[in-house]
Amino acid sequence: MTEGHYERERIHQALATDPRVGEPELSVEVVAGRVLVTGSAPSEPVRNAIETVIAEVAPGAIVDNRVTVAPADEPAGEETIR
Amino acid sequence: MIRLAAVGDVHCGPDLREQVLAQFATVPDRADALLLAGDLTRLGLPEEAEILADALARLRGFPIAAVLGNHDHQSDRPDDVRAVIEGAGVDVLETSAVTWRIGSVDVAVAGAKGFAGGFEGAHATAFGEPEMKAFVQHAHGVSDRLDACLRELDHADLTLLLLHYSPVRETLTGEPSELFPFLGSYLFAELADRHRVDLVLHGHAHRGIERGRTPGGIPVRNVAQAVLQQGYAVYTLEPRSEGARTGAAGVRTPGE
Repeated sequence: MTEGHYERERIHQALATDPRVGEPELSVEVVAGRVLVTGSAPSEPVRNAIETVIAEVAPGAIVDNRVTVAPADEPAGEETIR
Repeated sequence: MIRLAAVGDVHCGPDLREQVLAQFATVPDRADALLLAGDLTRLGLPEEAEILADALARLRGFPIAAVLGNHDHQSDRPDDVRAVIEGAGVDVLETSAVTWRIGSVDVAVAGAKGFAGGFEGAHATAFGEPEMKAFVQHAHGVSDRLDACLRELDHADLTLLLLHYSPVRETLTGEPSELFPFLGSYLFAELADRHRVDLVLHGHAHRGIERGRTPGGIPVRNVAQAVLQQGYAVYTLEPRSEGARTGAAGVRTPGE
C-alpha cells in the first residue's frame, strides 16, 4: 500500500530528470499495481521512452501509457482579444 | 488591427526538426509577429536550440520575441541557448523589451521567464532559511526589473507581457492545486494590472486552460502547445486610442 505511493514519486522523479524523457509535467499514479502515466510529450520517441525509463525504475511494472503528443498543426481560426 | 501568433513549450529536440520547420513556416501568412513563451528546448541544450533556430531563421526579418523557460535552464546553459536563438534574429527577452513598428502601430513586448511562488493569499514569503529567501527573492527581483522595463513602454500603441510562468491561478485550472506555487506568481499579474498591458501570454502549465484574466481584467492566455493542441494560436488586438493607457494612471504606484 505504502510502497505504491513512494514508487509513484520515484517514477515521477525519473521521468523528469532522465534525459530520454525530461518531462517533469507528467502525472504518475499507481493504481492496482498498474502505473498510469498521463500528460503530454513533445514527440513520439519521448512518449515511447517513458516506458523504457519506468521499466528501469520499477522493473516488472505494468505501464498504462496514456501520454499524448500535442499536435503542431496550423490553427483553424483566431481570437479577437477584448 | 494587429495579429499575434503565440506558442510556448515547444520542447524542441532532435526528433522535432521537420515538425518545427512546418510549424512555423505558415506564421507570416497568419500573423504580424510571433511570440514564444519559453521552454523552447527540452533539456536546455544549445544543439536543441539550433534545431528551433534553423526553423526561425527562415523567417528572418519577421518580428519574433521569445523568453526562456525552466526547461531552457535544465543543463545550466541558458546563455548558450539564448545566443543560439538570438542568432536566428529573435529578440530573447529577460526583464527587457522590444518595440516593433508594424504598419502604423508601435507594438511593445516586455518579457521575462517570470517565476514561481504562488498566488495572492498563499504566496511564499522570504522568511526562514536562506534557500527559502532566495527562492522568493528571485521572483521579487524579476518582478522589480520587469516593472522598471514596463515603465518605459507607455509610448506604445500595444503593450504585451510575455512570460513562461503563469501570472494567475485561472489558467492553471486542471493542474493539481499542490503544484500552483511552482507554476507561477501573482507578482506578474500585479505588474500587468499596474501598467494596463493589453495582453499577457504564458506557457508552463500543460494541463491548464487557455483563457484567463488578471484581477484587474487584463486578458491572459496560456499558450502551452499542449493546451492549444495546435502549432500556435493567433490573437487579434486593436491598438488603444492615444491616452488610454495613461488614463489608467490611477492604478500606478505612487511616485511614478
